[in-house]
Amino acid sequence: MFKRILIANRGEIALRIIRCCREMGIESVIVYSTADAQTLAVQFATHAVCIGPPKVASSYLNQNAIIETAVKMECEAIHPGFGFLSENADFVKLCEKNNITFIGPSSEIIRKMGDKQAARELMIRHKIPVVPGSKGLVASADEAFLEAKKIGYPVLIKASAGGGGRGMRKAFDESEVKEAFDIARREAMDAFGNGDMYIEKLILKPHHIEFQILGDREGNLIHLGERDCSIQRRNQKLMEESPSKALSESLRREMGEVAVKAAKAADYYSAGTVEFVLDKSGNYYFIEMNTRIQVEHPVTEMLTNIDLIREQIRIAAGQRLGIRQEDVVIRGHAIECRINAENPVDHFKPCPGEIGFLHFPAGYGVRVDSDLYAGCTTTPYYDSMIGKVIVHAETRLEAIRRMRRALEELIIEGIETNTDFMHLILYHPDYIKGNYDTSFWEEHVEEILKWDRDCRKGMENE
Amino acid sequence: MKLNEVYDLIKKFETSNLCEMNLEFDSTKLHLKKDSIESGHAVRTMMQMDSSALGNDMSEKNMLEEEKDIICIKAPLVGTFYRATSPEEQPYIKVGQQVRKGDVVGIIDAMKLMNEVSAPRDGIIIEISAEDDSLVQYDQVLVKMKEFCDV
Repeated sequence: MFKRILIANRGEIALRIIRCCREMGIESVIVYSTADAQTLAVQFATHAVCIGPPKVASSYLNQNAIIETAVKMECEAIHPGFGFLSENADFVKLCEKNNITFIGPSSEIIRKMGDKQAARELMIRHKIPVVPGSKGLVASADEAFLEAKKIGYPVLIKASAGGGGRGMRKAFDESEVKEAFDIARREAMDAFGNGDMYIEKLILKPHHIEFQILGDREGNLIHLGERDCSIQRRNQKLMEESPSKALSESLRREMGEVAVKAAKAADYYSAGTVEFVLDKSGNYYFIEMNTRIQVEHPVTEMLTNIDLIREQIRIAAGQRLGIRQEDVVIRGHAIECRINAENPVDHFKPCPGEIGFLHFPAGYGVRVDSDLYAGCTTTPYYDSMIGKVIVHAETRLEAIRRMRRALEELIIEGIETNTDFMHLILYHPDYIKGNYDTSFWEEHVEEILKWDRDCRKGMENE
Repeated sequence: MKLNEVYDLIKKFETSNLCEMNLEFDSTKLHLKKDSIESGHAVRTMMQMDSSALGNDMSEKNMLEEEKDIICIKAPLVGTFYRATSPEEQPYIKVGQQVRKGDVVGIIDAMKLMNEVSAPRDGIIIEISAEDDSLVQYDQVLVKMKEFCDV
């Protein structure tokens, strides 16, 4: 087992990894930017090394500074957390070159899964269902027109280099194809300098279902059930739960097996996630594989009693997976709420600042992963997520009640957060019935904001 | 203010949690400062009183200006700090040495790339704060120097 690990991340995930290292008897070295000198991760790690100014390019994405620190501090492995360098194949290559173990899959696997078109082709070869679409790139609007006819409307015209919703347009019938193609391509050229386009079937109001994968370097691969991440704002997840209400027992079993097959096709090892979209009639399609630990991993940990960070470290150290598929027991129901420093009333604008009074919920079945403390300052340089509240209960309704109770206990003074807004979602009839998909946010945000305004007005009148 | 009262005050200041203290009454001005709280000692104690009371002719203004003249040369990146090009070579600088703006004062090895660190102004080296062949963090003070003043 490793004696010392470098953690190339910040915030709550850095703290999560440091805690795991302490429990495993591994020393931790955190690298940090000058903006994070006062964070808990820096204070809790065995060693802390400042590697640059707040700008991520000079600190958390500064590969040379991180490797240099790892070598000088005699770290045997690097845990990248999520975001930053966690899915950067070049960085993994650099680790390999310097004889440092990257806690995650190989650079080859990351590169293979990072290229969405290549990943898609790999899945087609292994008979994994993918969203129906063009075989390769689509060169012109005319060609797009023909492809769209083959696939069936509505379609999505996408830039191969795309991301963050740019270089992407919907077309609901023949008359919209030409314009959608031209706009999407122009956008892609402007944003990514690459006009390669492809076209696929647009799945309306899909569920976002992902399966947690765990595999060792000997080829043992299992899944730990799904997470339903359909509550999202512009592709940013807000609330996740498991088991998903959208899956029947047989569909769950089938998708789990397909997820394992997809991971096997990529020769995957370490912790990873296979993402699917699921339509109204129960058709599911592979969309991508995330080759890292995810924000919402605690949901799975609560249900399976498996410490995913610990497993990641064990696998990276060359140990064999200690669990077989038939040993995995999924018990009860878990929900996670992401707490962001943002103001729902002001278009969810991020609002960092100094935390005053702080109280975290606790009690049976409640877990809080956060690096906040009373008096700390959240910076404007990084993600606005400041913590996660996770609950576990026997049934879904009990879990919803427990989450409401936990959010009622949560007090963060000094900055605006989305806590009240998340609390209101837990009272929405469609949420309670599990009758929601990725369109939930867009369809209900105004309604919930109105509830929020009315509640405040009511309080003022009293 | 009597001299032994001042000494009493210094003692109390040394054991207190304060880093810095300014006192001013009648014809007396007193400025106390120490570098760190943990050490419990006043690393540097500066005292200035009206010349009629103590016969000390150094003015507070001069002392403050001297502090201001000190330039801290900080690490521009993380890496290993070396005082010389190789262990056999003479170090780039010694305490008390005069340097010109742009003179190399040390190097930082990051990923086997040698990055020269140079003096930002003309001056005299007063302290080499970073140890030779040690990992220095971003923004860590490497060398302290005193700028030449126009007299």
